[in-house]
Amino acid sequence: MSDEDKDLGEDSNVTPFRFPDEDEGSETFRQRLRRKRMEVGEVDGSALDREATGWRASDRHLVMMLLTSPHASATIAKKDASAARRVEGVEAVLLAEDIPGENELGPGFPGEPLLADQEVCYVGQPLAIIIGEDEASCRAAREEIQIDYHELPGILNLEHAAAMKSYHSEARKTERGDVRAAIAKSDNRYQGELTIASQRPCLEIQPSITIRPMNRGETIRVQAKSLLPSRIRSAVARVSGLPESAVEVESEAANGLPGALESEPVRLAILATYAALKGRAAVTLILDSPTEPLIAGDRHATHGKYTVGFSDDGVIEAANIDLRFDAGFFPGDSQAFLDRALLHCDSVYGIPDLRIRGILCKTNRLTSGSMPGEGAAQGAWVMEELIQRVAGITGIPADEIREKNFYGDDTGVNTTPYGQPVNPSAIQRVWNHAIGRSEYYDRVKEVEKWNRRNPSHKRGIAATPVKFGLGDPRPERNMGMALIHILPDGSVQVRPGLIDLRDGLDLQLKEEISNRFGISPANVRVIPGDLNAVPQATPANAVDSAGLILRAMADASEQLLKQLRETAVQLFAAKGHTEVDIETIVFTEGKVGPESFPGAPLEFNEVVAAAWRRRVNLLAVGYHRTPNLWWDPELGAGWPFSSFTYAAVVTEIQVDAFTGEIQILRVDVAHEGSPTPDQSARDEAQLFRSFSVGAGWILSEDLAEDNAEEGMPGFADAPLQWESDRLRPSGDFSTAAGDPCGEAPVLLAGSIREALWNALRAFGLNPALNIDLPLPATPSAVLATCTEISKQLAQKEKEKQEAKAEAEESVGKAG
Amino acid sequence: MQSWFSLELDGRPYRVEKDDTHLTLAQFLVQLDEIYADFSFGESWRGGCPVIVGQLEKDAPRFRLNDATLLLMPQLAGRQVWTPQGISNSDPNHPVNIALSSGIFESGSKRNGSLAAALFEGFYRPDLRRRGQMNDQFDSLVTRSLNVPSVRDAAARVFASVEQVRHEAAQKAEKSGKENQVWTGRKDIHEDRFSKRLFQLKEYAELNYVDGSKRRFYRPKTLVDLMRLKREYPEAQLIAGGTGLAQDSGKVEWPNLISVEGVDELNEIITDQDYWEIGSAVSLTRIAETIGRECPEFAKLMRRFGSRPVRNRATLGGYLATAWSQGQLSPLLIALNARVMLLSNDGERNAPVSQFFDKNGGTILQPGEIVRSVVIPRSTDSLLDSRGMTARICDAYSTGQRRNLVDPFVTGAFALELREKVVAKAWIAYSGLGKTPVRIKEAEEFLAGKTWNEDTMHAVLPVLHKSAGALLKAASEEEDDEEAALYRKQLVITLFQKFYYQHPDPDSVKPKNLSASNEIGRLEQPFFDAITPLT
Repeated sequence: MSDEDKDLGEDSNVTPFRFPDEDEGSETFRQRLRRKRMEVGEVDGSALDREATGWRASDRHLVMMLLTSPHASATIAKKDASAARRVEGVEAVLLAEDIPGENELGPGFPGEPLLADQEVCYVGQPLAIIIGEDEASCRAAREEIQIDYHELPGILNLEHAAAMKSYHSEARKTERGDVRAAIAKSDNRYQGELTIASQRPCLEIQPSITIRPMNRGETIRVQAKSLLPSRIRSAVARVSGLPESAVEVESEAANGLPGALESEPVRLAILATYAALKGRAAVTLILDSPTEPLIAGDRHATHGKYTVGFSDDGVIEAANIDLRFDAGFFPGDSQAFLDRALLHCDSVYGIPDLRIRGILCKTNRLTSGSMPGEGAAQGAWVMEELIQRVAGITGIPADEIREKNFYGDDTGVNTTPYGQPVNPSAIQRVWNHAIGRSEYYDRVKEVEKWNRRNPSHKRGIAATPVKFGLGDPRPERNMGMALIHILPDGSVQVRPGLIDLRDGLDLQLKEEISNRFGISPANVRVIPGDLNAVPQATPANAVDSAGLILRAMADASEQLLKQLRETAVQLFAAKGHTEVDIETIVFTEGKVGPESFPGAPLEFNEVVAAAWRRRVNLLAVGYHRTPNLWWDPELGAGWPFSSFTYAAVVTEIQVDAFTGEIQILRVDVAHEGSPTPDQSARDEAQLFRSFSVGAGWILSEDLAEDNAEEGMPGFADAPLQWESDRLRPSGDFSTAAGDPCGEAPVLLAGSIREALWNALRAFGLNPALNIDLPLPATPSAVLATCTEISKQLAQKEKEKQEAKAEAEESVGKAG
Repeated sequence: MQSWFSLELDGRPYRVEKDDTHLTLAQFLVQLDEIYADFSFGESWRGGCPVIVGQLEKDAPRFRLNDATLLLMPQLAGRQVWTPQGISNSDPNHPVNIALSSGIFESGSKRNGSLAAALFEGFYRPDLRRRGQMNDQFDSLVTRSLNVPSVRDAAARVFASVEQVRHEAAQKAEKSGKENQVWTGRKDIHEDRFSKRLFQLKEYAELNYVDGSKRRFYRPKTLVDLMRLKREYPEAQLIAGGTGLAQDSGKVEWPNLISVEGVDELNEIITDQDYWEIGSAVSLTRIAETIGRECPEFAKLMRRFGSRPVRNRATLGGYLATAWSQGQLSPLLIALNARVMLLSNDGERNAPVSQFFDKNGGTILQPGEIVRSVVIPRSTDSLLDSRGMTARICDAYSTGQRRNLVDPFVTGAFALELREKVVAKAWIAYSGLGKTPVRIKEAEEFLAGKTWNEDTMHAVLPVLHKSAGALLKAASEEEDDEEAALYRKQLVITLFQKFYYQHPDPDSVKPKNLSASNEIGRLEQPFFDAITPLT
């Protein structure tokens, strides 16, 4: 035994670690990796008859990569893939002209080609599919493809798009009253604007998609990560010519909403299906990095321009808000997110005459709506900006301006401009709660005191309310499905029709089911993300997905409970208790029986076993759709949300004037939680996470930087103190608001910006200065703003002195 | 030469044979078993793939949080590795596992792994006492899916319970006079399956490993052997902590590697009356543990340096030799008047840190020469007295897009030696303004002999402005982002202003508490208050 062994102690039993092939001692690590991948590539094991099916033997597993455009806009003079096709290990190289049939991505991607042909329209647009035996040969072949671009200037931002009038469609609007006349009548008018930068989800893993033909090509299995796998299923079926029933999507779990995307994986799956058809084998698409535009999933950058008319005491009489959304070159789902922005732009303020218009701008980019709070946040933040400006001009604190303009008696307005009623008392409730629990007014005074004392670090505190519409303006997406099986031993299986977001929904469902059936949670198994069991999955973003699933689950369990009650009544009757009323039977602690029953109740297992014997169906499909939803974009009116959820937050921050860095000191949130009881842990977790997404967007994630990911907030950037209270929403389970915590808190992070306004006022910012606050407020941007403030202040001071001197001079002359 | 070495992985001994010297632990684990599949995704800016490494640091056995993507396999010879999977599977009733199973902290199994590893290290850390250290312990967790408030609460509970155990153990050990061993973590107070194994670790043997492609990895024990190897293999790459080097695994091919980790002489911190001499292979975490109390500005910069796993591996020698242009430590080392001790077969020489870097982003290290140690002068009252000084003010500031795991924009470090209110000598240094850290001599000379007050501070700003402008202009060949350059230029001025406003008064050497939000973060609050009677 050598010394090295002894180090581990005499008793250690050294297991030699070896890879399977002992003789291949000289195999390099990379070769081994390649071999491993080939091994993994083995599929269903059955040897296929190549002649009969056209598909190759099942051990064929190819890799595909994409050649993407390096330019935002260019025409293509020449494409040549002949050298690439000769690279060893390359199966095929597909260019636009090699696509059989129409070169189109199809439904959901209007106007978008599968592969760029004569022109490229955004950086990262796919031009060629390279299919090969391994990644290395695909990479080598990609180098060999020759594309001659003739670069064009392109439209890269909203400003440019507006100047060029580069729009996708007509503007949409929602309107109440005569805005133009009302503004003209107002005592004060202000016109301003706000640009909201994009944000990137920063996926945590290298994305890949695998298309795997099974059963001699009769079915296809797709492995992908997506927020809405049923869209992938439809697309793959359409491209491959198989019925949808023959396509299975194995959806991987995502780490919360920012962990996956919706439409991007569909685009990739379509490309991969073409490759699988061409290569006649299983294909895995490998992308270079998670920040590649095809999978980056950038939000829609937004430009808001507003004109507001208000009284001297800060009552907003009328406002006109125009939103420009950067929808990229191909709008995809963008219209729905612009609609969401229009529908959230009023926030909680009852402005009597209000017009909100929105238009999609066409730029040479690719944007996405998969991030939480997309659209809603942009809309609400533009409104908050307007409030800040009114506060600045009138000199009234912003929280007072807010309170004065809430929906309700003060403003006399109780419905949104599109006609859906709001609940003024709920706004008051969350607002008063947040103000009270944070001791807001005392802290405002403390902050003032602090700011007087400290030349270098200024604090700001702000209270901000939020209204969030539960639902998607696309009504077909507002539905949920869940399957519940009761097995013969009395254990229960639940399959929610929603991808697994690893957000604790499975735990919540488990608890709900165990409460409803009165059984131990250990006997309930929730299988999240098994979407092949349902015809249509619930979208994970932009709708109140957990709320829909919970209601669908409630529907399914009611059906089953009804069956079990009937069985129980029969069992009681058999025992001679014919008086038992079916309505009184309850399920608790594994027992089934009427609430106050002198005799022994039945065991849950016993009832289930009896039900099985009596051939009662113990599989139930629960379905819930939000009733009466409609939204008419032509009219700008509708009832697009099942209801609104309300929240308010008080945020205190500290700005380091020397570096521009911001520390969030304390956050107090009052929010309406999900209507299910005792699930605060999940709500709280969701709440904080969504707030972090918003905080990163507002403060640090600057896509203009190469290393945008480095702005994603870490542990040490979290608020020093975090307090949150979850209030029960008004109404009962069936009518109350759903599960707001996945997305609504993104909007709450807007409060950081409000606090920043206040902190900057302590540096001398005043409405007389022509200063806009950057978004994101990165350290460099904040420091630049501070510098600008002192510069303009100095300038004003100088002008004042000069004017004074001049006046004295002229007085002197006159004298 | 040997073609194998062994380590302990999740409580089981493993023998690694012929494997590439460049293989990282993450790559190894992915190959090893399906349960380690998470290790295939790890970006260092996001905290990488955390694991725990059990190792001997001088005579103290320690569990250290490491990043598996930044560890080369041969570095682990003779060490213990615990993966998050191993931690959760080996002992489900361990307090860390119990705490993690009782709340919603993160979404996703991998992320839970990062949390488990960070919590695990904290559990065994003898110096983790106050809430203010929480960020330090968890700063490798960079994800928007983390529920920070509940992590803080759960961690505070775990750390409080372990502090209580430590207090009880210390009381017991008092009788035998071994209580100090408890406080310094040299006695096993837990006696669980993890700590028992840790305390069985023996001193590492030297390692001479050759892989399947005939590349070698040496880990000598003595300085003499190290210099001999250096002479024999002049083309070999020295590896210290390896945090920078391992990032290039798979991209760069090094012929042979010589690790300085095992060299006893380089692993020592000598605390003299006048100075500390820090061996070049000592990890940054150990340095902060040793000098942090007396030199709070070092501890302060540490909190923003990389992340806990990086600091646990990175060494001062490696930091200096790689000459990271934006590195946060160089300005502070300059302000502390530190010297680098170099060693080659021709003998020793030394240089102040400010002269260690050359203009082109390199260092003055000659081929065959190594960084032996860094000498940092102490500035106790008696030492200042002996030089006729009444006070020394020193502080350092770093700025970045976020607090951790980020390339800092600019770091500034400043020191003043005062006779009453008059500046006798000044040190003003920055990094992030060009290829190398710089000392702004003009400003230092300007300050000498002036009274330290607001007017002086304002008067020196134009001098700083001019020098910074010249430096940035010289560097602008690479810097085409005007806005960023402007921000850096501004920071040169504002960081110095900040220094003045935080230390306006020679009498109060301690900074006024302006930036740390003590009252809100409850930073000084201990996890467990020893004064309360033990029950």
